[in-house]
Amino acid sequence: MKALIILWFAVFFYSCTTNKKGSIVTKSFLQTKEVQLANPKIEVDHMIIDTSSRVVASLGLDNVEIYYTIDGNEPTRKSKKYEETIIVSKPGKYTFKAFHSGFIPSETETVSFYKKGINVDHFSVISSLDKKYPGQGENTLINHQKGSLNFKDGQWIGVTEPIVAVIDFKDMIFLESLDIGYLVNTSAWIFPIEEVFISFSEDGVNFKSIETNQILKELTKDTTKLGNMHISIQKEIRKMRIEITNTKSIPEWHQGKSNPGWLFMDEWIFNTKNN
Amino acid sequence: MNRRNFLHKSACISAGILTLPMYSGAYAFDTRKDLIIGHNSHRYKVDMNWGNLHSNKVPVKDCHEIIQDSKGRIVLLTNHVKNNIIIYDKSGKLLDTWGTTYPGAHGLTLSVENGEEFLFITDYDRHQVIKTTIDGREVMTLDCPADTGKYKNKEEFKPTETTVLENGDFYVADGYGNQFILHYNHKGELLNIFGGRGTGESQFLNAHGICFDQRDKENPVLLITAREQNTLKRFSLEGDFLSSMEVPGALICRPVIHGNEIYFAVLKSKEATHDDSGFLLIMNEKNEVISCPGATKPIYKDSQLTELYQTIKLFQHPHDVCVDEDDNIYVAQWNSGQTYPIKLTRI
Repeated sequence: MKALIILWFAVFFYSCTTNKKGSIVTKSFLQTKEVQLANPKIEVDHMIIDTSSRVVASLGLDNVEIYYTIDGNEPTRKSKKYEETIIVSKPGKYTFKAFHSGFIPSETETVSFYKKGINVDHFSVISSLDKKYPGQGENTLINHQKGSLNFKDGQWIGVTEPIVAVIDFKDMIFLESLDIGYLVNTSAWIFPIEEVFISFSEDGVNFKSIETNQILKELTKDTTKLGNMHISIQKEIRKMRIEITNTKSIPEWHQGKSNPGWLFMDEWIFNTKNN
Repeated sequence: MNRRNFLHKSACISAGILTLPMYSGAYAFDTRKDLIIGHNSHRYKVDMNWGNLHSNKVPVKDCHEIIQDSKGRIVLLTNHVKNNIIIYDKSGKLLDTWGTTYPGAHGLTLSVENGEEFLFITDYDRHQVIKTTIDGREVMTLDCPADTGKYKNKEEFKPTETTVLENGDFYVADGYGNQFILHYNHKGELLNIFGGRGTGESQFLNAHGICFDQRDKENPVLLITAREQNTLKRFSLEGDFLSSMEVPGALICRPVIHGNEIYFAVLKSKEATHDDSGFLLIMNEKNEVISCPGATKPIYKDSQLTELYQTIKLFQHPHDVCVDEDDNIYVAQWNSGQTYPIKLTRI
């Protein structure tokens, strides 16, 4: 019995401590169950839906399963399983999460789809655009195209000062809401919208302010994401003035603390009943 | 212990003895499962404890580069000015530290000249290249090559890497500056300048790393990374562009040659939506990607490498790798919460 126990320890020691090179290793290695999956990769045709868009989700690791929801909730293994390309024809929010029996599940990855806004008759940015990131000029904001996470993809306008625009719809319209797309990439000093000021005019001459009450949660760590600010309007409007301010002072935790942040926007979507 | 249990355990022990060599790492006494990363012939287990030190006594900030010296010691460069250089033995035990004057310490290259070891340090904050003895005595400093007319002021020179030839000539990559590659002789006299910022085939966006590649002894070349472009470029020693290899999705730092292979730290996955999306990349003697520890398996379709991206959150921002004689890898990381290097043990 004693000999068996000694043999048992010999096997145990050998099996746990010898690597390919035959050297003795006393360290314990990182365990699979201690490691989290990366976020699934989501590819979409376009996020503004004219007719439909395709969504492909993947994570290139064997035996990974991806689940998703369309109600904004966090996916679980009981949610719908991603099996093939999803065709999206209505606005909505798709949230994906990857699972694997050996690893910690991933964080969620969300992609939002918007309905196409109305065509704007006359759109004029009256503040100056930054020469470094002009996008495709002021029309970038109303060209019905969203930008990617790459802030240099030509779909983003970047500014370090407030941006002010006047929109003339020519005719009176009932504007239900406004979606303002923005980018967050704190590593590149790109921060969310700080404040939005909107005023509107029924006669094209006199303007009244609209209370927007949009307060975004302050970031506390490096973040990269596509953001959207949805503002309810619900008013008869002919003309409107929109002022959006960048982060005036980058928070303390960031290497650029106290400096102004960049503000990147890709699209302003004007929603009416008819679009 | 009843007889049935005894027999069962005896049988297990016998099986263990009989299969002793192949049993290594597969013995299922409990639910432990060592993480194995990488693909094909290059797979590794991960040791997160290697080289961890007391952060008050020997602190690190960004761990930018890591090399092995002729004695087999592992030499780490950090931009923490309490101890810019940290020297370990291979087990991860601290041997020595030095250096307090390199706030932008970024590139670290070993040069052996007549049996004596030197280090080339690039410091983008000091806008200098500094050559030291292995124990930290400065023997040469190079400033911005203003005479070339390529720089408006010395601050535009932000060197990231060096590589040294056998004759003592060396090249400097100005990867955070104006993207030129500078060729000097062993005295520090400028012989040539090429590259520069741009998207042309002989230009760079983020000429981050450079190395002397003499795997083909008859045709030695320079390998230079254009990190932002996810591309490795080959140049002649005279500065003529030869060819380029794209590694879609991978922000490759510097090429590190070990045997017939090239190893890279990949700072991040290009399209990742989350931070800390780095991984490692290994090319074979034909410069084909064969393994990506921490990322997708490399797949070629119609001779084109498909996009690579991180699959598990193991590495944060890997910035350099060092490969020892047992093929184990030591990984230094930038902007990763002041963490010490990670060791990967080849299996």
